[in-house]
Amino acid sequence: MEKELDKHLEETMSNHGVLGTLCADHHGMCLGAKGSVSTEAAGMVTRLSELAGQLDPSSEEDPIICVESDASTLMIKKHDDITMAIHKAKVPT
Amino acid sequence: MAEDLKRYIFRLMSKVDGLYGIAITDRDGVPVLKVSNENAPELALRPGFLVTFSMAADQGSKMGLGKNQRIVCMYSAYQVVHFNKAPLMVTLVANSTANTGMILSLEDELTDALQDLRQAVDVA
Repeated sequence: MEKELDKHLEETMSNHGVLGTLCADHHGMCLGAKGSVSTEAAGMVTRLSELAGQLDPSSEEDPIICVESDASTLMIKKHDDITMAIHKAKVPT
Repeated sequence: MAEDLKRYIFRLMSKVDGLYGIAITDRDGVPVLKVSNENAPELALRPGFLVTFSMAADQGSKMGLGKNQRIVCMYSAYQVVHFNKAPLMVTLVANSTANTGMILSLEDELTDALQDLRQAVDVA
């Protein structure tokens, strides 16, 4: 049932610098996770995207959230009922 | 100690929007500790309701998939999440729109809090 989603997550992982990826539903339940992103992060990722959306309720599009650390960035985006998170290594300058 | 634990559990409750109550019971549904706010449905925190999850967890462990660890029940107005922490059972009651993933992520923190309570129900 999840083969298609798994394929897309694998394709995302094959991009340069991508350390992990996660897909969650509107209940905060993990639909799929690969690499460095744990399935347990699904709830928090969904909640973060909901909260960020509340910052500008008039906006038609859901915001992209970037959580940056020294070595990597976690990017979160919600689209309809699905929230995606991509953990990417920072390219050294 | 009981008051400290209640306060801790109440703080955990406030971490998730829409989480109305947490009940820690023994296998028979007898409440060991119960924390709830005014939105919690009173019937969902009664022993008669809570013991059904204990029975469901026992049955779930007989399906050849290993020990049943968690049960999530979605209703139209509420959701009930149940952690099997034998000999204790932890039941969380929340709004149906609450973030289920966040509720499930409370498990580790609740497990730490349960260590002292275990001794109250452990049979030697």
